[in-house]
Amino acid sequence: MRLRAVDVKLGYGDRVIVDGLDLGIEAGTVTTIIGPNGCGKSTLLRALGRLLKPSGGEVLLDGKRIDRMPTKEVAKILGVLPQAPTAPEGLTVADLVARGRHPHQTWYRQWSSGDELAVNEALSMTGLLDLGERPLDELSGGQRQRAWISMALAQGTDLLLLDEPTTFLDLAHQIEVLELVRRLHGELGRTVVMVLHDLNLAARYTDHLVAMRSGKVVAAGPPAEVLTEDLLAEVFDLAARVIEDPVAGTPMVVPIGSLPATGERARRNGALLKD
Amino acid sequence: MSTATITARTPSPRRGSTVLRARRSLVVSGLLALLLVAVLLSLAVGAKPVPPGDVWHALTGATGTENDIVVRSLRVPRTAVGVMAGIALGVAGALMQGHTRNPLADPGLLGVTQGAAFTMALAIMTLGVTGLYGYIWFGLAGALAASAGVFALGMVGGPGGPTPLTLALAGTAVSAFLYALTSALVLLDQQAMDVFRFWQTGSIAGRGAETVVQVLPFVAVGLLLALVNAPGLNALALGEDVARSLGQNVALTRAVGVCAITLLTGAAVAACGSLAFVGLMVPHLARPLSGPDHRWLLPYSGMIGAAALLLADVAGRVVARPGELEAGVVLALLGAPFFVALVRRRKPVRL
Amino acid sequence: MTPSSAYGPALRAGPTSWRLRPRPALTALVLLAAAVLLTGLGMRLGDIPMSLAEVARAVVGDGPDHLVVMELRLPRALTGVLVGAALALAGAITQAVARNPLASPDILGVTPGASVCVVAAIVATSSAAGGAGGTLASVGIPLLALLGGGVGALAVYALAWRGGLDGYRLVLVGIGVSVVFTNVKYWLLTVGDVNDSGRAMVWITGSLNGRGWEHVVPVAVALAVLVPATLVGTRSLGALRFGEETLTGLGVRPDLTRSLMILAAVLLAALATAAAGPITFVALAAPQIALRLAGAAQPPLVVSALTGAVLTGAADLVARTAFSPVELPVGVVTAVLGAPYLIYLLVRARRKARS
Repeated sequence: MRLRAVDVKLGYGDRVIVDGLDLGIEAGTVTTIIGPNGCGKSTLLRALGRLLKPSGGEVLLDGKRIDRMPTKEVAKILGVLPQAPTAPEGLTVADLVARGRHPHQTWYRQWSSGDELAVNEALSMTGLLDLGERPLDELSGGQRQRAWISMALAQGTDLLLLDEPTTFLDLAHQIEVLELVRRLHGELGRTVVMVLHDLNLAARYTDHLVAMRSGKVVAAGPPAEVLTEDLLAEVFDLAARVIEDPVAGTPMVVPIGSLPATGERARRNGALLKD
Repeated sequence: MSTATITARTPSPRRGSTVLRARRSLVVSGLLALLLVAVLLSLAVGAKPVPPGDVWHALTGATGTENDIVVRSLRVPRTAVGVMAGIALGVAGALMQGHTRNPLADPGLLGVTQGAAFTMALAIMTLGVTGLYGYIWFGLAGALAASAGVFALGMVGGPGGPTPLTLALAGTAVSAFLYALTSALVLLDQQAMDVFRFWQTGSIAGRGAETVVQVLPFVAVGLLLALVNAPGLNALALGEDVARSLGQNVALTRAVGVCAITLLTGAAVAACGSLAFVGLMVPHLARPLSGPDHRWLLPYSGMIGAAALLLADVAGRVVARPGELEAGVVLALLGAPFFVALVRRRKPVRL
Repeated sequence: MTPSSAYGPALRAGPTSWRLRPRPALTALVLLAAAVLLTGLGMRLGDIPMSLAEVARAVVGDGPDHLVVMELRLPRALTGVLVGAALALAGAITQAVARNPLASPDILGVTPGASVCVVAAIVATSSAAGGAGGTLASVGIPLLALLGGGVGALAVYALAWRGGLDGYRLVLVGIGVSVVFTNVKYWLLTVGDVNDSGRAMVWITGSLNGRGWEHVVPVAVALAVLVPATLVGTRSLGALRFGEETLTGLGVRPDLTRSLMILAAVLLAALATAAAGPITFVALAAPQIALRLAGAAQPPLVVSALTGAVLTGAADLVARTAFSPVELPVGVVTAVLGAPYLIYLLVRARRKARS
C-alpha cells in the first residue's frame, strides 16, 4: 500500500466535507475517484497530496505520516496536479515544465543535465516538444492542459495525483491524456490516482474505481464490480443501463434519465444552496 | 504558422534557447552599460564638474588635488549610496509584487517606510537627535519593527503563514496608522517637521562614507535572501497548491521574502528617505525584459532601479544650478512619465 | 426548504422586483443610526458644551443657541459625515473597477492632483504675498482643489484610454501619475517656510475645522445625485469582477460602465477633497471594512459610504476631544481608529477560516 488515508476528516473552516474516510492506493495501479459534484473527490485528492491537512485521522505515504515528512522529499515521490491551475502571463511551455523540476533543484544546482532530460522527456510524452517556446496563454485549452500534465511528469514522481486532467479537452484529447496515463502505468510502473467525470473512460482506463457520495466511499473495486446500475442510482441518482463496452469489454453506462432525488440528496442540495 | 514549418525544425524544446540566451546577454550587457554610464556621470557631474580623466585619477591614484577630494569624499559615497539604494528598492519591489501578485504593491507596503518615518520623527522630537547619521539607526529600527509587526499580525489566527491579501491589507493599515502618528508629531514639533519634509522628498545628496558602511550589511543580507527566495517565488507564481505539490514550503518562502523586503527597503529609506515608489515602478519596466522568471526579474529590477536613481540624482544636480533638486522629485518628474509612456505603448504584462 | 430560499426574500410588486439581502441591510441600518448619533454628538462640542437634549432643543428652537448650532455646528458635523461617505463611496467604486483591494481614488489622480494644487497655493501665497486672506482660504482653496483633482483625473483617464479602458492599465497609469503629483507635493513642502509646510500638512491630512454650509452643499448634492446613479450601476459593477468576455456575454458594455463609474468616483472624491482635504485612509479602508461587515464578496456601495461616514464622524469627535483644547486634523484620527479595526476584522476572518 503506497498511499493510505486512515479515518480522515476533511473540510474548510467549519464546513466538514469528508468524515471518517479510509482509502488505500496499491502500488502500480491506476485508481479513479468518481462521484457527483461536491461529493468530496477533489478534497480527498488534495488531502492525499498533502495540500490539505486533515483535521482528523492521517494520510500515510509508504507507511509514514505525510505531514511529518519534509515536503521536498514528498515532492520527489508524489506529484499533484490541482484543478484549473494558473500561471503568470508570458510563461512559456518549456519554462512551465522546467518548474516541475523544482524539488530536484538547489540554489547551487539549478539546471542539471538530468533536469533537461526530464523536461524533454515530459514534453515529448505529451507531444509538446514543438510548442516549448510558446507562451502558455497563447495555447488552446487542450494544449494548456497537456502542458500542466507535462509539468507534473517532469517532476519525475512514482505517484501522480491528477484532479480532472481531462477537463477542457475534446474526446480525442481526453483519450490521448488517458492513453498517456496508461503508458505511465504500463511502461514506467507509475501509480496514478485521478478524479474523472466521464464514467465510461474511467471504466476503460482504470484498475480500481472508487465511488464517492457526500464524503463517503460507497463502493470500491474493479470497474466491472463497481459500475452497476444500482450503484449509479445510489451515487448519481441516475437511471442507466450498464452494458459491455464493445471495444474494451469494460462496463459502459448508457443513461436513461435522472431519478427523483433521494431524501439525502435533497438535503444536501438544500445545504449547498445555503452556502 | 503552419504545422509543417514547426515540425521541420529540430525537435528540441530548448531550440529557442540560443536565441533566448543571446537576448538575455544583450539585455544584461545593455543594463550593465547603462548602470556604468550612470555611475560615471554621477562621479563627474555636479556643482564642480570633474573631467573623466580626473575621475580616473581620483579613483586609481589620488594625489590630493581638489578634484580628487571632491570625487573621493563626496561623489564616491553618494554614488555608492545611490547604487545600493536603487538596487535594494528595485529588488524589493519585484519581490513584493511577486509575493502579493499585486501591481500596486510597493516595497514600503509592509509598513517599512512609515515605520522609518515615525521612529525618526519620534527620535528627533523626544531625544533631540540631530544629523543624518544619528537617525538612520532609528529609521532602520522603525522599519524593521513595523514590518515584523505586520507579519506577526498576518500570522495571528492560524498556521500556514499569512495570505498575500491579508499581508497587503494589514501592511496598508499599519502604514496609515504610523503615517497618522507621524503627521501628528510633525504638526506638533516644528523641528521634526523641518527634518521630516526633506526626508520625505527622498535624496542621496550629502551621504558620506559612514552611510555606506551603515547600509551595506543590510543590503547585502537582503540581496542574499532575495537570491534564495527567487526559485520559491517562481513556484509560488503557479499558485499555492502547485507550489506545495512541488515541495515548496509556502510559509517559509513568504517569511524569507518578507525578511528580504524589509532589510532592503528599510536600509534604503532610512538612508535616502521615502523613495519606495522606485520599487513600485521599476519592476513594471523590468518585467517585459525578463519575463516571469524571478531569477532574472530580480537582478534586472535591481540594475534598472540603481541606474534610474543615479541618473535622476545627476539630473537634479544639473537642472537647478547652483542649487540641487532632490533625486526623488526628479525621478518622479522624469521617470514617471517615461513609465506611463511605456505602459501605454505595450500591453501591460500582468502578474 | 425550497431551493429559492437561497436567493433570500424578495419584494415583488407589479413589474418591479427587488432582492432583499438581510445582512447588508441590517448593517446599513446600524451604520446609519451610528452616523446620525455621531452627528448629534459632534454638535455638542464647541465653546459652550451642550447636552444632546440641548442640541436637539437648539435645532428646533428659536433661541440664541439656534444660530450657533445651525450656522456653525451642524454644517461642520455634516461636512465630516458627508465627506467621509463620499470618499468611501469613491473608494468602493475604484476598488471594484480596478478589481484591486489596494486601489483608492489616489490612483484616479484626483487626490494627488488636488493636493499638489493646494500645497502650491499655500506655499506660494504665504511668504510671497504676506499670507493668504480669509477669502482665499475659504473659496480659493476648494476651487483649486477641484481644479487640481479634475486635471489629475483627466490626465489619468486620457493616458489610460487606448481604444478602450483596461482596468489593469488604468492602475499602472494611475501609479505613474500619482507618483508625479505626490513627489512634487513633497518637494513643494520643502521649498517654503516651515510654517507653511505645517499648514499645508494640515490640509493634506484632512481637516474639518471651520467648515460651513458652503462646504456641505456641494458634497450633499453630489451624494444625492450620484448615490442613486451608482446604485443603478451596481449590477454592472458586480459584473465587472468577471473577465471581459463574460462581461460582454452578460450584456454589459465594459468600457462604458467603467467610464461612468470612474466619472462618479472622480466627482465624489474631488468634491469631498475640496471640502475637507483628502482625509487619510477613509477611501481605502472604509470599503474593505464594509465588505467584511456586510459579508459581501466585493465592497457594497451603500454600506461602504455609511462606514466612511461613521469612521469620519467618530474620528472628528476624537480629534476634537482627545487633546482638548488642541484640535487634531481629522485625518490623523481616521487612520488611528480605522487601521486597528480593519486589522481586527482581518484577523477575525482568518481565525474563522482556519479554525
